[in-house]
This record gives sequence, structure tokens and C-alpha cells, in this order.
Amino acid sequence: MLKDKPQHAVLINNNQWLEIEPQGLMLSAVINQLSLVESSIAVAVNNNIINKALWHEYVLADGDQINVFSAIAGG
Amino acid sequence: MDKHVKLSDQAFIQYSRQIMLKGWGEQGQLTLLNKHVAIVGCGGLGNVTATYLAGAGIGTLTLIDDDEVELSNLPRQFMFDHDSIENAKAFEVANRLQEQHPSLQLNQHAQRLTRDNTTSLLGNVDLILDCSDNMPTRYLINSFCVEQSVPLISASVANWHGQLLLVSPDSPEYGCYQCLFPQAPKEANSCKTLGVSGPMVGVLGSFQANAALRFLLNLPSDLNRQIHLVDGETFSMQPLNRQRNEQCPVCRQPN
Repeated sequence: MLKDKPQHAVLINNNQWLEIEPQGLMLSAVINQLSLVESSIAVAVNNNIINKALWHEYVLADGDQINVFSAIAGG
Repeated sequence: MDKHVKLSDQAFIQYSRQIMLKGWGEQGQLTLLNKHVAIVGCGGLGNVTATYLAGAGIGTLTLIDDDEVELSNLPRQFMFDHDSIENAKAFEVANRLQEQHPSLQLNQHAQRLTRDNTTSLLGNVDLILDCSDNMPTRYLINSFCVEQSVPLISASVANWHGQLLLVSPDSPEYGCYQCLFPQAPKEANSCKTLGVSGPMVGVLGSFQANAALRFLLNLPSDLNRQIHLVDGETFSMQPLNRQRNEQCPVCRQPN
């Protein structure tokens, strides 16, 4: 179950809060923090896909919802 | 094949429950009878989509798969049984459909889709359904669809999760499959590596077939600008808005 939201945090994949500084945090920093392999993931913020070229300039705000996922191949 | 211009009385009765739907009608049914859909991959998703599209009265189906039926397919690939094992999936599905729908036109190819045979196998279709089980094939189908301006409905499933999207030549601003996934994951997210819930294959295949029918009938949908993440653990569907990736090698605009 999702824990209570910390004062300043973003929500990762609808199931985990990640605390951020009050002034916000770059999307690329969150991806680094989560130790994700950048080359094969897609990222959405508040239900909008953000292309990889923009990750280093996208500033996340308190309460933003982030989805990180990779391609599923199975059929 | 001659173009269908009028429904027979028997066809009208057979398709009456869907003809009743808003936006479908007799004209919509005739539209479907004159459409040609290719299904790449005749496994779990292919079983479901082929069954529903043939049932709905699509005129022509092209089925492509180089795999043979394995014992581990049986829990979710309901068109096969123990007697199907080691038989070509494309032929097994075609045989089953032809028994059920004698007037359905079928092209079945028990071969792997490659860059060399894509045009000959997929030329002249109105819509392609990606039901494949590997990333190289997914990228190949996407490239073909973008280059040839053929609409693509991509579905995939593994574990308890699925993904669904439509790449339409009419809305290039929302990008293609490779805009979203520029590179394949090192470890394939497939049924072989992650396992799969059989009913989730049914869910994704059903949504894919439903999306195909709505697209062919020109009924409204946001699938061309979104990817839907389908979660069988929380019973939820999350639509995410897509955009073209200017760095995409497949669909970026020429300078």
C-alpha cells in the first residue's frame, strides 16, 4: 500500500514516493537516483511522455506523478 | 476478391448484434467485409485477435508466424491443443478460422518476417496488428508501417502487464513505436523471461481487436495519441500522451 506523501515528493509508478528538495529536481536526476538503464526506458510525467532529450531540463515539482517503463515484447 | 456491395440476409442476421452498435450499421459491416488485416504473430495475442476479427466479419486476414506450437503455449493459446504441438502456428490458426468462417479469405505464412519479405507479405493490407513476441520484429513492423503509411496497432503482454498503442499515418505528430522506445531492453520483457498470466493475454488481445474494429470503422478513439499501460495486478489502465521524438531514426522529419 502507498505510504503517506512526504512534504516534498514525487510519485514513482503509482507505488513509491521519492522525496525531493522544495525547489524541485531534474527528471534526469530522479532517473539516476532510481538506477535505471536510461537507454531502454520511457518516462511520463503527469501522464505525458517526456522524450529523453528533455530529461535533463525538465524540472519536477512537488506531487508530480512519474511513470517509468520499458517496452514489453511478449505476445 | 470482388468488393462486397450488399449484405446477404444471412450475413445481416449473423452480424446483427454488432450492426446495432452506434456508428457500425450495415455500411460499417460492409466496410469490414472489404478490409484486409495482417496479424504478425499467431501466439496468445494472435489467437485472440484473429478469432474476434474473423468473427466480426473482416474480409481478408494475413497470418504470419514462423513458430510451432509448444506444450507451454496451451494455457493461453486456446486455438491449439495437444494434437497441434510442433505444427506451424500460422497454419493451425488458419485451419481453425477457415472451419469456422468458410467465406473468410486467408493468407498464411509460416515464416519469420524479415526486411526482405516485409513488402511481399504485408503489401496491400489496410491495417497491421503487431502480436509478435520479440523486439526486432516489433521495430521492423513499425519501420515498415511508417515508411509505407500503413496503420499499426501494437499490443504486448508479459507477467501481469500489457501495453497498447496505435500508430496512425494520419497523426504523425504523436510519433511511432520507436519514438517511445528508442532502444530495446537488454533483457527482453517477454513471456519466456517474465512469465505471463493467460487472462492478461486475453485482455490485451481483446483490446487490440476492439481497437482494430473501431479504427476500421472510423470510430473515434484517442489510441493514436496515447499508449495504454494495462495492469492486471491493480486492474487498471493508464493512458499516457505520446509525442513524436525528434531524434527518432524512423519517423523524424527530413531536414
